[in-house]
Amino acid sequence: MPTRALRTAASGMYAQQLNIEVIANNIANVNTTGFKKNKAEFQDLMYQEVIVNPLSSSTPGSTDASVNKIQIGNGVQPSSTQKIYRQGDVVETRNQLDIAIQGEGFLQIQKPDGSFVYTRDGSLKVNSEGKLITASGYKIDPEVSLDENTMGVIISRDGYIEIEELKGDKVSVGQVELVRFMNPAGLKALGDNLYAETEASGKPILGTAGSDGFGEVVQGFLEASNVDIVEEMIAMITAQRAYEMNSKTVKTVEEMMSMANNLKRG
Amino acid sequence: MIKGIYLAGRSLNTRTKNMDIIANNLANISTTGYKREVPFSEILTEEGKITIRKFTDYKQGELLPTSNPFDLGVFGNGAFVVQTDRGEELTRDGRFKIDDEGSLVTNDGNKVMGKNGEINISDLMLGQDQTISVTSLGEIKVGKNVVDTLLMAKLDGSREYKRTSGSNFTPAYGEFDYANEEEYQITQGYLEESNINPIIEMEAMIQINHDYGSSHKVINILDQSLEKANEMGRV
Repeated sequence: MPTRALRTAASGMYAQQLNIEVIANNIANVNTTGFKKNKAEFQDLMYQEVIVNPLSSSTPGSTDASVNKIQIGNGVQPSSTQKIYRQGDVVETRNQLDIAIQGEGFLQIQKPDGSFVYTRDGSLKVNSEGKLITASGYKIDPEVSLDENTMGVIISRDGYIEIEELKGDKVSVGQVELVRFMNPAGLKALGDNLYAETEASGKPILGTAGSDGFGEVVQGFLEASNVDIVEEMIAMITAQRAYEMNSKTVKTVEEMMSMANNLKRG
Repeated sequence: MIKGIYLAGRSLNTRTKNMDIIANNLANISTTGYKREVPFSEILTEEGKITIRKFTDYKQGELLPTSNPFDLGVFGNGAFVVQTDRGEELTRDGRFKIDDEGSLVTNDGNKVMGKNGEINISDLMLGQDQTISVTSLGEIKVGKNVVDTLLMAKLDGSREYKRTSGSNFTPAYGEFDYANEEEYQITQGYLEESNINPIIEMEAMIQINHDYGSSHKVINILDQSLEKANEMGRV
């Protein structure tokens, strides 16, 4: 039975379903600080050579010696999801520990096991030891400690952190280091706004804020999610229609099979 | 009359296979760099013989921005040359990345070929100035250092190509031709969408469905006539 078209259509429906899942995740994260949208990517499956005889040749079922081969594809497969690292809007929060990165840089975070992960989410907090941590609870690297006399924190555009003490003195306590990747699209998303380096992203390049390409640090602002609702809605419409078209394939093949079934009367 | 039934049966067979092709086109509506397969038909060769050919429609797909420096879209007749375990193949799918050895590879890990062979940027990866730029002729630069120029082959309807897996093409006979510089333009940060037009596919699907129905009717009517012929012999 001609089930190839059915399987092909099923692969197309599965791919569009996955596409919708990715879009749903983007829309759900429309208010996530520093979120970068995902895009589902697809690739065609292998092609198979099928023998086709001219309409006027020998009886159906038998194959002609002068074979005509054509290639017929077997559908589609999801190949990867890609992160789009477009800059999100910078939103004012007036919180002195919020920083937004305007440029390509990432904050470097050291996890308790010693490994490094990276984030664009600059909503910093202070932990019980006085160290600066990110929203996910890990210390930023290099570590920055604030002492108990701290009244205020000033973070300059190039990442220098100064604290204002009770008496009004300003003391420099460190600098925010930024990390950049040759191919940020290759980073692995770990959830919690964290990313890990992979072979595809290339090695992290350390640098300071304000130097070329790394971007500037803006205090009192946070980077909003880069999901554009209109864009996602359009992607959703396209995916839904593509799903419908594949289901039309199923329906048409079903009709054809039913006709084949009715060929024999009585 | 029996021959007529066979012919109509063959027609049903053909429509089914053409339906497979439409199904594949519609399934690949979101596949990067996918080129439409035209349902096959019978054509006359130059010697006047009937043969069956299937064509691929190499029409330009839309270029969509992705803002990823390793996404390359091609405008025109050029195709990237990639090294696979089956030999060199051509592709329009420009989703590239850097592998752990520092080589430029495609999404499925095949090496992308430059004019001087494989493209490796591991020596330049540790530098500070790491902006990757690709010119419209395919010259790859890391910072100010020129690494290589992408090797581009010609991919259009003037020759017959076979499809291998993952949007790759290989010439049906012989070697591929190199593309002339004026025949293509590479745009960095863009990807070429599939060139499927859903309206054309749906129209083709309706057509196939109706043709199938007509052949089905022909078989039924011939069957009825044969039945009558049988009855004639009844005593």
